[in-house]
Amino acid sequence: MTSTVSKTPTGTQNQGLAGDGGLGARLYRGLSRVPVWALAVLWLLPTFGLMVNSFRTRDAQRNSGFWRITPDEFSMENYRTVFSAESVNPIGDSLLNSLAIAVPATIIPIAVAAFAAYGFAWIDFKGRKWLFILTVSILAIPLQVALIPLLRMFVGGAHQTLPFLDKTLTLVPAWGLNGTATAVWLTHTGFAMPFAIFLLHNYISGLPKDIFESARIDGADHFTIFWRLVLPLSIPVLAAFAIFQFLWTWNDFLIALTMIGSANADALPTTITIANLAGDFGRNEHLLPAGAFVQAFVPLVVFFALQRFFVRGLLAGSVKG
Amino acid sequence: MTKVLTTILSVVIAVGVFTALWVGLNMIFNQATRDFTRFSALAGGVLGLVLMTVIDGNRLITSIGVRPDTFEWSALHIYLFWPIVGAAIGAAIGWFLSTLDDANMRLGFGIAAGLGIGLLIAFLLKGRYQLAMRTTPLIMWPLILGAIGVGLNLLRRRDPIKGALTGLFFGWLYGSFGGAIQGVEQANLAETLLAGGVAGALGGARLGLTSNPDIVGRAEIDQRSRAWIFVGPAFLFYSAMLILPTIQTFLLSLKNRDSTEWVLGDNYAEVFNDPDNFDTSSFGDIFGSSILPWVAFYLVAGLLIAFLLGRETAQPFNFGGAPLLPLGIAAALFSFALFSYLRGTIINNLWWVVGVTLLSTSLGLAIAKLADGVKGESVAKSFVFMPMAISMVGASIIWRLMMYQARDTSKSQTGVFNAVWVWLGDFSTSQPGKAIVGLIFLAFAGGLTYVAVRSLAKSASIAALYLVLAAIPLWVAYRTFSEGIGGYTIRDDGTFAAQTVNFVQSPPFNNFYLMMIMIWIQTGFAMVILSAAIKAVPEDFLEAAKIDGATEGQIFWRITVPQVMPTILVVATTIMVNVMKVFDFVKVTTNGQFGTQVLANAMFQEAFLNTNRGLGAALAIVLFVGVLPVMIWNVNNLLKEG
Repeated sequence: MTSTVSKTPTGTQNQGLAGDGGLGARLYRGLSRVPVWALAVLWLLPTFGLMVNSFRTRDAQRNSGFWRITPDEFSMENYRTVFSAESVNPIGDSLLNSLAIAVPATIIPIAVAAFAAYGFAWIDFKGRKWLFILTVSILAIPLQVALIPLLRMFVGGAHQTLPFLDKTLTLVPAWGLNGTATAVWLTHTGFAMPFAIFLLHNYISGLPKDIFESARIDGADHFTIFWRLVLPLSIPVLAAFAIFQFLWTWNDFLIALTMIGSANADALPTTITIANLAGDFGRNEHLLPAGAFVQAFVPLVVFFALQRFFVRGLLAGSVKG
Repeated sequence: MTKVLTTILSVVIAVGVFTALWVGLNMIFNQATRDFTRFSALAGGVLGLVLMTVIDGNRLITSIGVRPDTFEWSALHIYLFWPIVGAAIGAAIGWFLSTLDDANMRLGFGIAAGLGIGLLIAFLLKGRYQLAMRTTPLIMWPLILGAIGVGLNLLRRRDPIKGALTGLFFGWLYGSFGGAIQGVEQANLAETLLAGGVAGALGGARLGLTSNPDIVGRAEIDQRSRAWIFVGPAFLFYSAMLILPTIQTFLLSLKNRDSTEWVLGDNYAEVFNDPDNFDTSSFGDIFGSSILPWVAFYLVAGLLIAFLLGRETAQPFNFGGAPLLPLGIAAALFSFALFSYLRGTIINNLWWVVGVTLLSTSLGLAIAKLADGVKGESVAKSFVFMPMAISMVGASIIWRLMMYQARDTSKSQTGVFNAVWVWLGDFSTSQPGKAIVGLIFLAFAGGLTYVAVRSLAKSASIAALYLVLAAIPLWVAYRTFSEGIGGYTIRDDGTFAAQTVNFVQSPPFNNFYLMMIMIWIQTGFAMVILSAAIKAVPEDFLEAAKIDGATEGQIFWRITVPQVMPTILVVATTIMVNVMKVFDFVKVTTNGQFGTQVLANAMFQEAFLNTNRGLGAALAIVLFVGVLPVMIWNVNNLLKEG
């Protein structure tokens, strides 16, 4: 605030030059368009190049850059190869594996977090404030911190030696979940909780208080209020989080690599499949653009179709916080 | 096709079971305020079901949950028998208890029912978990927990007898079943029955001491249980997947590679003493860096402009606005020089955090500002935002193939950057090319100088700023005329030859080129949020400044930036937290080779490939400590809000 005050005299001094500012402003406006569009095109260029090269034959890709494409180079061969059952990890299978992870990893966290957000916002209970602070404080925990014990749990179950007694209690049996989509979406669900609760709580706690009070007076219980009032009213933020979480889980590499990576070659999601293609000492480099484009296709469609919700969700999550 | 079906089936089962459980639980607790008898019966039934499933029917969960294909469906009734019996007994007890109002009757019935259930369970354990009790734990644990129960309830001003009973119940369970000798010959049915019977009677007595709640009590049951139904699942998920594993990782980091021995700080000592992680040996060479003169130049320029600006505003120095640009450039260049001479995993991680956070945020702010109100703003912005939808693995592949590819110079380049670079080297060393490129940069410098001279009358500091900026194109023009710029080298025989940059593999700047990939993704995020914040700056402020004759630059630096500062901080911390754990880019492009290792990849390699769990855990904890300040900041903000 103090800095604004101290600037006032400068402003009055410069008043005589206002006409000059007009020229500067016009020049500025004209010039500002150039860098914006230059940057926008630069930002699009890599993805565009990937798309172009995915339709070029192996030789064409090796001999010249994507900007030199000629019509006769066009071929669907790369796509046929990455989808064919003969390839080591057909991308079609990987797409299904990715769906088996991303769909439950999107729906279940939304449900669980919506319950919790409603609980934190509208149910009065002891320790509510501190539990909420705990929830938000773990928002920043890097997921690497949890990976080693989680993998151990999925491989061998969870066991706790009873304190002062020579006995081990099995809390989670060795279900052999490592290498399955279940292990991955369970992990995603846990990791998504803090952000999801934070985002949904911001929205749900901002709903008008009157509707809850009148519903309570009409004898509605929490479950009915949640089901009939809160869920329908929260569709925008639920959609925003759903898009966010779907993109995140579809694009995740680390968790899938840890939980499935070496344990089960039949359950690999798309990210690992294309990363394996990339790590192939360049033998299959000509297939990479097609593979990467297939991998990116689903999130790009989701993104462009639902961009509005997504942006709204991002804003709700960060500006208010 | 079967794969599609099993995929859909498993998803439907997972979601369906979860939803059914949750809705069912809500339905049961809805009855607490409506029909207490029904509620009591339902609750008893569910408890019985769960208890018997845990004790006898869990083979069902184990076998169906994971491998439905190998499960013997013909044996289903065997697995289901005891859970169903348990549910029936529980429901009956719940129903009968809710109809009893006399305190003595309740106590008697509670003890009898508890004893019966305890004996039944003990009998069921026959052949699987018979035990021979040991005296010490059997006496010690009920006493300890009982005392704790009494103490707690005295503190809470509740009935100490109830506390004692609860304590005795858990103490007896712990002491009898936990403390028993297992799998030895002395184990026998009689002792097992004793253990189960006493535990059941104690628990039943505690249950019998309750009274049927009145209307207020029922509302309280509804409220309290509802809080846990709503918040509980989330709490369970993040406790099991995040909080407990974090604690376990911390403990693992204090143990050796296969967690058999405590080594305390040894893993951390290894992390910080390893020259691969933290190498300061070539720090002295920084003074030979070609970047340092530029740092000095922009530092002096920034101070000079601050001085000039200070004279205009009657202060000794004024660092608001114009001086920030050259000072910022100086700081960025200096950290660049610093990070390229200090080497190692931890340094790389820091470089990522500083570089990506600063560049993404400032680029995002710049694009948000530049695009504001421009024709086609939303299209341009969605181009920049689009990489947010692309996976980090995909982005790494895209950049490696499309932008950074370096091929043998005898062939044509297929990566954008090397193609441009080699073309520039070719063009700027050829005769007309040299003049054209040089003149373009000269004209650029000339334009900036012209603006500087024009604004001299208005403000000396602004003029100085433009002059300082003109130094860069001037220097490039000089280089072009004297030698040439771009990707070329001069052979021993004096001929020119093309030379590519190996963006991915030549340290230390390959780190920076890898960061570009993440900046490509994160800039869109920063832009979207900052764009909204810029649009939210009150129009009045801008109008008032315009009337006062402020220039566009002044309005931006002195009104818009301070107004959106809180948002900038949020964006920067969000990106910082994301960058701290950077993994995918490095894993896919270099796998940590060529001096690009980062903590997350080192952690992955140690923990999962080298099977050194202790060291991997220690690296993870180092990451955790890195984001600790952000966590504290978050909590502080929350507490301030109240």
